[in-house]
Amino acid sequence: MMGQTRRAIELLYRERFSRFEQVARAITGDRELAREAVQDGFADALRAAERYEWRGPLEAWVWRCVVNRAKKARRPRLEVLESPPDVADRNGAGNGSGTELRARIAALPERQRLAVFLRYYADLDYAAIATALDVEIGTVSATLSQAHRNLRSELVKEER
Amino acid sequence: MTSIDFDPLLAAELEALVPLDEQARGDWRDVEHRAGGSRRSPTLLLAATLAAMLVALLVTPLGGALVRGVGDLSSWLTGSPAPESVVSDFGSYAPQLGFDPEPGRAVLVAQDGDVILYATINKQGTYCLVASTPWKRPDKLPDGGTCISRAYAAAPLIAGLVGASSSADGTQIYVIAGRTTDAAARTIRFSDPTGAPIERAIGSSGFFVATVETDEPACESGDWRPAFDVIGANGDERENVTITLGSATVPGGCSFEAPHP
Repeated sequence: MMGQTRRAIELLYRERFSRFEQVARAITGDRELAREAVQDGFADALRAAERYEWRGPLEAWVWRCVVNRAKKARRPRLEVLESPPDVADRNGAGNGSGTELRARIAALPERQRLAVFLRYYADLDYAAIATALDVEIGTVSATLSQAHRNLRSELVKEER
Repeated sequence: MTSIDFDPLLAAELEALVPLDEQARGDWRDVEHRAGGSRRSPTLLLAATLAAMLVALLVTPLGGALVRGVGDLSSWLTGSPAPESVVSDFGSYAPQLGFDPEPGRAVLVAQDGDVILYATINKQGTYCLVASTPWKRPDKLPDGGTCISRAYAAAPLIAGLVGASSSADGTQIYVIAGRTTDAAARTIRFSDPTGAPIERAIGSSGFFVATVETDEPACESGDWRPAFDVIGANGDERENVTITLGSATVPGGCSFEAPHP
């Protein structure tokens, strides 16, 4: 099982690296910190794979490793997406809509924010998000609904 | 998905905010290096726990007695010299984990087919182990090995997991290693996760290693907790100890430990 798990983790890394990097970048707000988080998160997964046999969804568990690393790597006081230079470089700093969205997401409670990232960037389902965030599936549903309510009201205002 | 599950407008804004970098490429070798940088088996947590237990034992009367009981381990560790790759592997052990292996003293102590167990002494007065398996040779994937605390080294019998893999057909492969302090021991017997008997010859200095293959996960039916029988030259049972090799305490999995009583 151990060798099989290692191979599965490596395959996941090779196929989904850019998605892991994207989510880690959203959490840390920094490209280098994001890359470090992905590398360390996968290393954590490899080490754990030697101790455990996992019968649950492997990808969700690896996401948990990476998210945990990204949370730890987050720059002090840099609330998510508050001022991400890497993002600004690509989208144009001061973009009105982007700035608003950054502020709204930064204002979300951490669990809501992470659930949104995993739902939209990683395209995980509720069960996988629950594993990644170490919460019950029902909590994911409630958390995402609340996040949508918080974000949608602002989106609707913008649309008007 | 319902509209509550997924909001296209929000999705578009989020994607624009942190765009996917299709060109981003990882470095898998770096991941492997980080995973093996300190040591892989047992984990840092387990090693720290063992180190804490060692300290606790050393400051108690019982600990003192154990230390005296272990004696000079280097005098009995015998076997054919280990290859350079194994010496190098022991040399990569992270001393922060509480042990200082002496790589140059590494010897081959037990073998089961193409799985080989090496041991060396350390400055703490115990010994360390490296298992060479077809899927993890020391020259390809060195991990520093596993060191045994004084308390464990003084136990009459220890056993635990030193490697694992699976074959293409789904067969689970576990490498169990350990040592008996009984100089008259010749054979070790225990059972695999399904209860099937395993019997292997004791190698040098009381060490043994066994490759266990099974069609089902180790903790499929709960803890893997076999009774180990130490058998003498005349077939006499000299010791009988039950050791938990795998614990079904991890949700959805099985937690293994390095050699322990």
